[in-house]
Amino acid sequence: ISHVLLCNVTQRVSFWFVVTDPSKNHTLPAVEVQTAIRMNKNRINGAFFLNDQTLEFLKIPSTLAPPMDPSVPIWIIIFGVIFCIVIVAITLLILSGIRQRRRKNKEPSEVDDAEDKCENMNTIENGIPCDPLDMKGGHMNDAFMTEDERLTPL
Amino acid sequence: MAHAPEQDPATSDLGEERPKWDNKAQYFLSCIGFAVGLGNIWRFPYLCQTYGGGLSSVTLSLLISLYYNAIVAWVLWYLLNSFQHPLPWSSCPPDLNRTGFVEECQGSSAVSYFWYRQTLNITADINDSGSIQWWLLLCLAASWAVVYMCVIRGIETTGKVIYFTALFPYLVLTIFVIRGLTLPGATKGLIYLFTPNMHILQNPQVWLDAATQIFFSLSLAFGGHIAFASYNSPRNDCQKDAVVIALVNSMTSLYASIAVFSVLGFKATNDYGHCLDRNILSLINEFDFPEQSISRDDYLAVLMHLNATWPKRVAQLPLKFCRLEDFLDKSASGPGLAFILFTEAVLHMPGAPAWAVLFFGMLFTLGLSTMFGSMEAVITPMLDVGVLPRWVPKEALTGLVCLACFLFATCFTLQSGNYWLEIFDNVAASLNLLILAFLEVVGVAYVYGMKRFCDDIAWMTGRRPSPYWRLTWRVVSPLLLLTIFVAYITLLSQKPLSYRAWNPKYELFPTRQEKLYPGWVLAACALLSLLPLLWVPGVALAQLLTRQRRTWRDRDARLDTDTS
Repeated sequence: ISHVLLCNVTQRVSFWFVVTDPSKNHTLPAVEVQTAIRMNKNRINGAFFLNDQTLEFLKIPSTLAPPMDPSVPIWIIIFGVIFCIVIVAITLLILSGIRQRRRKNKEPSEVDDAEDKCENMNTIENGIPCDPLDMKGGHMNDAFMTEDERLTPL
Repeated sequence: MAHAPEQDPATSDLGEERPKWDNKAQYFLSCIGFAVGLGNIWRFPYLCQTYGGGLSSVTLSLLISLYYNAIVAWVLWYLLNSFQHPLPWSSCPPDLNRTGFVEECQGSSAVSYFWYRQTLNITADINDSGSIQWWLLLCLAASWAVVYMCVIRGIETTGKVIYFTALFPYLVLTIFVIRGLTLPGATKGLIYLFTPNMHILQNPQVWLDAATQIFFSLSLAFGGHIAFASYNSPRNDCQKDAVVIALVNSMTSLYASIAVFSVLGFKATNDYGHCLDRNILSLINEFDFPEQSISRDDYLAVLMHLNATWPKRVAQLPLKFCRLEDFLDKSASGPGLAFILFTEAVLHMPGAPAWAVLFFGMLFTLGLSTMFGSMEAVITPMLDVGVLPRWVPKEALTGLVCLACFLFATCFTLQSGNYWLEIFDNVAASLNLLILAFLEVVGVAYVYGMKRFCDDIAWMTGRRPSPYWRLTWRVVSPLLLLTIFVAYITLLSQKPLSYRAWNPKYELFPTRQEKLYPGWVLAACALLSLLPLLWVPGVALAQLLTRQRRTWRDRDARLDTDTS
């Protein structure tokens, strides 16, 4: 404090100051003081419990803290997670579609065998026709018109 | 079961006089209202889709899917960036010396900088295409992958996903309404929203904008409604559905505006407070008052006092005139609202990343559910017409369409992509939708016949439509659509088409620079606006030619039989 002289004190907490060098008994040049303050702004802030918004040195622009830059941007991580989930879901859907179609292809061949058997039984039963159980695609009551019949082909 | 009387033109008696069209115009219009006796009534609008009118609708839906998913990709980018604290658009990046912020950011704002530079990396001119931004390309690929996943087996998959994508936005909206109403300054925003300004209401432009908004908001003439409705059972109360959909749509808009305006009111109050604070800081610095000696409420009184005692010193200060109404007026619509205003508002709410995730998640699901409609409108006609042979699975067709759309949409990831997107948004969608909707209404009401249509409705819903419906179908809707269309065209032709470019080197930066579209861009605009509609006369012409060829062939056959 002894080497810091105050002058031009105003009502607001603001003041001019010069720093003296005790050994050489002259004031230090402004440029040196400015560089010193710029290097140690953080410590000065801490000493006064202030920050860059509340403690300002005129003509000394405070250097800004560099932004936190993680090595891998966060958005890429989340993107990777979502994309992998989507790709897995698409693969599963396509595979289940293929499996469904294979099952459908197998069924008509089995039904054909059953129909052949029925017709064989027909001839065996001496012309009495088998009750034609409609084995294709579940139980459809032909009394009601189905969708396909209502639709006239394009 | 009552059916429409079946008139199959192909089986007319060769000996009889064939019925003729009164004029070619009837024939062309019939291509749109293609209901000439093809049986099943509930598939009539669908068949209407497969010829002429349908191809227009499909092309239109295709064009719209292209640019719409680009917007969804932007939303996805913001959503992915919301999972961090502090949010990346909260502060400007420092410049090279680290003594200040990047100049472009300093001149505008951190939020604008993040949108225009770090997201779009936009060029200053539409001619300057720039390079593809890889991060946007990744987001676009991801959003098309999500769309594909949901549309892969048609309504089988969308039907399940839609529970989430349709309901989640309502949940988030409710949360935002509650949060918004508890924010300081929200009431001012709401009062501003609900006070009618008589002076503005006298401007016909406002009514035109309102009409176009409600028209586009309901997504009519896209073919999406038709595609979805075609999966209903035939005896479906479509009248009730139509009323319910329209009501729900309007109610949602009102509900959303409550949330939006309370948040905007909060933001405006915040900005107004900051404006006052900046002025107060200038005063304090100039007159060496102690910190916090001037509060926001005292500001005006103190300013008057200082202006009286030290007018010269006050005059040289950079004091801005702060008015709350100016900040409330700074509302925007479209991308500006979401990516600039709302993102900034979210910054000031405690727990900002959570609100950002909720907001962009809601926008993402909203965009997705619209994309489903557009894609269904494109894929279902293709499947029904049988563009690809039967053995090609549905998944492959959907995949091809999605891949083609993705490849085409990569042009929106260029640096000038945003300018092109605005063009698509303004030109491809609006005019075509208006014309298509008009043709559909006229086609049903006049060409198909009001009586037949009322019979169909009676068969489907169990009661005939009331005079209100008949009046609106015959008179009100066509008239309104025609008025909107004419007004639109007049407004377009009044001044040369221009766009607003983001140019950091502009003198009035951050105001966007008004530039005229170059010639080749205008040609592309014209093509975009006409392309979907060209199918209507095109296919009609093709049909006309095939019929002519058939009549000639029949006539030749008759001559041969006569002579032989």
